[in-house]
Amino acid sequence: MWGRRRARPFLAVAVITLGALSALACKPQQPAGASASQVPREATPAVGYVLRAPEGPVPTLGVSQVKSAVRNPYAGKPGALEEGRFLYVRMNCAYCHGFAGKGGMGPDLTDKAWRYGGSDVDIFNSIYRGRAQGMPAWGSMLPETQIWELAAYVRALGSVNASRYWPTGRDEDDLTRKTAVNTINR
Amino acid sequence: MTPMLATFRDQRLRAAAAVCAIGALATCTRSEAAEVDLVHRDRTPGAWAIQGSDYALTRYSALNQITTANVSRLKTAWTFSTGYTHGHEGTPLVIGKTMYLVTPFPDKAYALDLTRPGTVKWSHTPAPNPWAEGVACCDVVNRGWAYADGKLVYNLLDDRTIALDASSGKQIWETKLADVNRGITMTMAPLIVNGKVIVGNSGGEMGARGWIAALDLGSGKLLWRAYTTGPDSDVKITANTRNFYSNDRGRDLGATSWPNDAWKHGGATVWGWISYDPELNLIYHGTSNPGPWNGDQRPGDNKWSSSVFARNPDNGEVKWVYQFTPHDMWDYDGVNENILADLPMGGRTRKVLMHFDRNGYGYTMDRATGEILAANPFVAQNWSRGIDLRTGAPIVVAEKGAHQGTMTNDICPSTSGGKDEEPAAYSPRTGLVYIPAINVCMNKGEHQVQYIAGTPYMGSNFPAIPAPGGFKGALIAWDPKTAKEVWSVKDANYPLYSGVLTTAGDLVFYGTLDGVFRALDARTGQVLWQQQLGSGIIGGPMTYVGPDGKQYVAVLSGVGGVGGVYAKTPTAPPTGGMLYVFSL
Repeated sequence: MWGRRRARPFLAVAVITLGALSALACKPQQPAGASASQVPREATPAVGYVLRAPEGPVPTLGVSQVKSAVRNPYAGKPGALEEGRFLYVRMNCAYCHGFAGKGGMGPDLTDKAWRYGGSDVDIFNSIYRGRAQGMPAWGSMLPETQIWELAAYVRALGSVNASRYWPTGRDEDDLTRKTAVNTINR
Repeated sequence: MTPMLATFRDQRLRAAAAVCAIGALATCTRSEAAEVDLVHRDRTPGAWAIQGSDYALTRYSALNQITTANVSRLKTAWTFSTGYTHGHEGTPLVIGKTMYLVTPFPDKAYALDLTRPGTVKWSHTPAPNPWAEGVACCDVVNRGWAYADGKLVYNLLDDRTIALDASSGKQIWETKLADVNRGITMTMAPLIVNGKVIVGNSGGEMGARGWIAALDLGSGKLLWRAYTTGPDSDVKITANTRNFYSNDRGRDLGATSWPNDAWKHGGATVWGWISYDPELNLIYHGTSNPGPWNGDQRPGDNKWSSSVFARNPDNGEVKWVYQFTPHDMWDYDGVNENILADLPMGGRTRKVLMHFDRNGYGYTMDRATGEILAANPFVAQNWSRGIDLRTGAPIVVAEKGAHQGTMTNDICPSTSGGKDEEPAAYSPRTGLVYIPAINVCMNKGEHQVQYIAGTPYMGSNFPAIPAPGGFKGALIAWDPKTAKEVWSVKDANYPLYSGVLTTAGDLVFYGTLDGVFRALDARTGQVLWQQQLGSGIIGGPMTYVGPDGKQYVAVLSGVGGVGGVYAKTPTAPPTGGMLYVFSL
């Protein structure tokens, strides 16, 4: 009844080794726009369209961990932050951590208090490997380039007005910009 | 079997007090366990053996030492720290000389010795999977625990139901019911009926598929499981099912009222309360919002989300089902408690259930057939223009729908509902229901979301805004015969998230998110007594008779849950975890 289905090819587990990561870090950076090609960006579907759920593996703990003290190759790059924002909403991060990163089901990402460390690699590992209290391991779902973009965006949440990286013309971002959850007590 | 009228008039469980008074403590525990009879509640005066006081979930107590005349002298008798500071939503149970508590995650159980108030007889610390903490939508709460046949039974957040020996705390059995990695948790209070433990799942925000299940009280063995979406065979809709309204009739509506196979992640979880009518042999339970929250991804009625089921507890078969909010776009779960009573209506006695839905309507329904006898709003609402009593359907205001690519402003109630799971109380003496209400509105806009196991499946942004009337919460006294408010006590600053207790002393007890525990006159609403507690109150108050023969009132103070979001103000007391017990 609760059996797991086979992963779709595009969700194949990509266990990266320390060597592979180093190679990534030294590689010339890809254009940020190309790196998000793994997550298709449909236009807003018409009523009646049903998104086909990716019945992939449950993203639990178990992917290997990156240990080297590398810097995020996308840190502070506006294009990467824009992609990170897109992924932050698209991969449902926003529902746990809040559209503004202020927390909810998951911890606040803006308060400088990092349960599992706040370095670039710590944040990468938290996303890539998952954490024990319900943070999925996205290393089995996303290519590492996108995880670095997400990590760059998560860091930006805590350091600058991240909203300047929100791209225009997407309904979810327009909605988010107008309001913040639970404004009632402000 | 005792006729329902008599049963509901006699709301008390008769304790094995006589046996206990002369026995040694160990003997007493065993005999009091054997003598609690959940059906014939009048055998155990002074006990509180079911979360809702009785199978009808009245939260009424026939105890009357504490009255409108003397409640002003109520004082703290003793306290107990649970050691945890997440939301404390449950109600303490008292059987004989023992009180039972279960904390929020990690769901630690305590048995407290009432002969030495505040001391621990035993405790049990399970080790639920910490993954559950991250996939529980609305804090890591436990909404209640159950007692029968010498066992304390409750759910762990990581989808296990466990039974403990109530005299020792030793675990007797555990049954794993779902995979927490898929975003399914268990938070609801089990109900024990005919030797069966009835449980249901949470995860309506995570694309879970709702179910309700029965376990054997003796062994924990799974006896049946019924889903709330999908084909009739899964839902246990059979040739014997008789739905009152034509909107709810048809083959496999739990699948065909969804596009493609969207029902497989369609929510309709069973995280609220279950009541039981021994005479009709029916249990009543609601279902949650559909998933995802973005309704544009699931055109159709999305049955059986936001619905109420009447089922045979022996096999799960559906007697009738009614959908409160077809194609919910506002998170109007139908899980709130269904309180049972026999009321004079239209010149005869009707067996009714009374339900105060998140959608803002108070329903009085015939619980044998599912017919709505009366339905009116109890808080500000504007998503509909009323319930059509001929068809059972709400008359939906199209402009208040929530859709993709746009923000719909000023929808009432908010996603918190006109009332959340915090249970109301019904007094057979006044004939009134006391509703802990939430008066908050929202703006709401949707966007496309994809199902990813273990992550939220919502696609919605829903900032709360103030509601008409200038208040956020109210304790409403409601006449279920006419479905009309009689009086209310308004709270300007906080919605109500506390359960309610009413007693034969004609008192109503409830608490607020900023930690005020209060007693009202059940007939007038006059505030007769109140005390500031250490943290906000989201649990259910109860009352019992102690070994000294005195009446006590108890409540857990520990803000959290969804209500905790509203309590994050500069002046509200912080989180906590403390039991307070009061007496004259």
